[in-house]
Amino acid sequence: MAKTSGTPWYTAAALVALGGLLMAAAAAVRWLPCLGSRTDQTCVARQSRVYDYLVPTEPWQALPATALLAGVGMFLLAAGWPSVRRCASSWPRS
Amino acid sequence: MLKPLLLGGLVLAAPVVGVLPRGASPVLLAGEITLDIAGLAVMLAAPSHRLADYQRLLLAMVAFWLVGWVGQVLDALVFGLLTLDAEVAPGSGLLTAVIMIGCGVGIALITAHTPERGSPTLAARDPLERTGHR
Repeated sequence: MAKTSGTPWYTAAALVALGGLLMAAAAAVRWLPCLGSRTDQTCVARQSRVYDYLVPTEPWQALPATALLAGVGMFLLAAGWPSVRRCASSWPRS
Repeated sequence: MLKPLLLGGLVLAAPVVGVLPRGASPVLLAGEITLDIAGLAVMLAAPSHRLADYQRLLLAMVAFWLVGWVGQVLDALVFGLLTLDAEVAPGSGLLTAVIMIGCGVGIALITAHTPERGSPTLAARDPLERTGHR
């Protein structure tokens, strides 16, 4: 496939969307027990701040799957930025 | 780019090397806010005469801003209305992730509907892109 000026933007779009998808999966893993009932014991436990996976400060007890999914998701988002910067640096100045 | 890289690295490393002490929270928040303001400066400095490029940069920046405290506050506001008594409302994290997906889709859609730079269609639309040889 020939590279066009839109290719870096498509790369950035795919990485941002995929990053978001993984972040959504991380949230879904955390809140899965709440689908049935919000008064379920597991669901109530998951409402504690210790299960927050985005900021790893004490006390932290995030599920390994949520940490992995969210971490990789954020890396993908970061990986999209070089493409955005490449496009932005090639803009003609007014 | 630095903020998702930093937070992603911390989150991935935490199960292996351990978490940051509680006292690191304000420092981390201050760092996030600084990087968000740097992102705002990038947006303000970017030339806006090519609307499609500016829109795509803005969407990428929204995704960047949503990672971290901005997303957490947004989720707390929205999902907190559904479950008032929870420490963290069920569903938190989903909204920001869905908006991020939307940003990616938006960038792709704008790219699909934007003529290639240098193409005759674009030259006709955007006089600033023309090479001026008269």
